[in-house]
Amino acid sequence: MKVEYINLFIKSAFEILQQVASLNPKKGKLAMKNKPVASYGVSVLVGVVGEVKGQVAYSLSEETAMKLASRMMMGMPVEEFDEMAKSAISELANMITGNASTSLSAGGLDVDIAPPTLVTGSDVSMTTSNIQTIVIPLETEIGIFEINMALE
Amino acid sequence: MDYKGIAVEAIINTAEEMLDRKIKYGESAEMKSPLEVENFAIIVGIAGQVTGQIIFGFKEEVVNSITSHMIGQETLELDDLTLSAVAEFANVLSGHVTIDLVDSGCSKKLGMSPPSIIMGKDLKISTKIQPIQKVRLEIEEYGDMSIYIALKEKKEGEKE
Repeated sequence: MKVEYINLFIKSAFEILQQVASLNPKKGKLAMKNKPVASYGVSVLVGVVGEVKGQVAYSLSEETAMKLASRMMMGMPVEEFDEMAKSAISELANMITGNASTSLSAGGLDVDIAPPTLVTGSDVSMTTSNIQTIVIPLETEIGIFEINMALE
Repeated sequence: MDYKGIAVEAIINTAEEMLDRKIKYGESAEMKSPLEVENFAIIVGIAGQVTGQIIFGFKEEVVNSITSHMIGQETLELDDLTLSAVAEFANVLSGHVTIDLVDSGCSKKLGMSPPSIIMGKDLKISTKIQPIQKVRLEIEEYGDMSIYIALKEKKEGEKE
């Protein structure tokens, strides 16, 4: 995976988290993984198809997800991680990926994205067929928001 | 256009051929998010004029039966080789779905993401697409697998 893709996604995540949730994330240490990557509890997957293809997953704890959903909905209290909160978090993942893929398209690559799927469960781990995952932790005021990029 | 029916048909035919086993339709139902799926799921994203996901749900024993058949030797645990084989299984099935959808005129062009494998307990999957068509398939000797078709037509110019 090219470094410019990684930077596009980080830039996009910074912008969207700032815009929709007034968060100021800090980039943590990047890591590369060949094995299934553990989820923080909530993961949103967005499939990328075209000249760049793969899967981008965003992973965060349920607590962080609820705080994030609340911030996205004008501070409305979110006491349960219900379908409405899930839909907010899915939309956020969609925006970050959409924004980054628009930049890729502007650079001349034919790229499209699939709608997001949100996965919860216990001891969840995931892997995308034979593609190395770049793990990018973003530290925010409300907890870790991690990007797991598996693109080729 | 009955793209869900086309998708299910393509999956059954391709899986029968790949596994050299008869596959029977089990019950079929329209579901809403969150889907409670098996401990081992594979998600494939679809993008084009038809957009969404195809999700496969398995029990671990069934994954091992499928991969043993594909690799030609018994697999007992979910190691790299097994995961890669079952991902390939989902990849070929989904590939045939996209080919059949394009051939039947549902979409001019369809892209497919590589399969992502999700493992865990109490897995729940949500998507904004509904209803989701769930079909249980009975694979001769191997056991059941579930497929969840979450596809919708995308309107012209609509952004995801």
